[in-house]
Amino acid sequence: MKTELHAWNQLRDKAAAQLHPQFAHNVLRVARTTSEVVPSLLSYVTLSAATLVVCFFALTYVNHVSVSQDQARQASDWQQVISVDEDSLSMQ
Amino acid sequence: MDKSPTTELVDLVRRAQRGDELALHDLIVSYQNRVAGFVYAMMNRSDVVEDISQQVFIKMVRAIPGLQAPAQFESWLFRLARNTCIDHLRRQKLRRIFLPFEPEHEDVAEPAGAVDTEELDALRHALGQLRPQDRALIALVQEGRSHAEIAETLKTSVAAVKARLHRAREQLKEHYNSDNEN
Repeated sequence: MKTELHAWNQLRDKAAAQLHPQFAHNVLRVARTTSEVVPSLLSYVTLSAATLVVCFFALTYVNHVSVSQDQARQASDWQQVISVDEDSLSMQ
Repeated sequence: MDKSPTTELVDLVRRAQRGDELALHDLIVSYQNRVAGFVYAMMNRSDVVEDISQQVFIKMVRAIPGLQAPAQFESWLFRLARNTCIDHLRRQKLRRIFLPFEPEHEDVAEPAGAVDTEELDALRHALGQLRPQDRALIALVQEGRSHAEIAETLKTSVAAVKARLHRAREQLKEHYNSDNEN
């Protein structure tokens, strides 16, 4: 128990040693100059949701354009097939 | 007439609430080492101690005008510290989900025994085995918070705090002793 207490004291000492000598001054300077330092968890979730929505619409649009192009190409192919058929029928 | 430490603290907090920079500075200086110790116990890494402690005090500076009971300043400050650490741990978890292959330096353990004593290594290892909520509980007790204050912070009953604390202490002791024996 005594060694555990000693370990806690060492932990506090080590933690305190991590702080800059001008720590308080720096905190006040940063607090004055920035409006919000840490983005909240909510902002992360909101950003993720917004990204998801944008990606969904982008994918839908790309899919729509690609399907439309395929359909137009297939329609023109069929048109060619039909015209070839009509030509061969008229020659007969 | 001499002022008691509590009266002095309340005066200091009231001055800080009015925007007195010197009072804010004195409050930070008075509590920076204790908050840093709490953050270290919670995060179990020394490289984030300054950054997170700074976040805690920036939150304190911004929120102190709204503190209703200046006498409750200490428990309010440690509640801020606890919530900041828990938020940070949650963000770490989220980052690992979204960036699972990024070589995160947070996963790299501090070299054991490089500068720490065996006792501190054992304590850090034992703390690392506990859930963050249990680490917070033990760290709050180490900072002299009463069971009632902790219950208020965690929005639970004193009996529940006592039960959880007993369990957490037993676990900590078990891991600490096993690590110390090794």
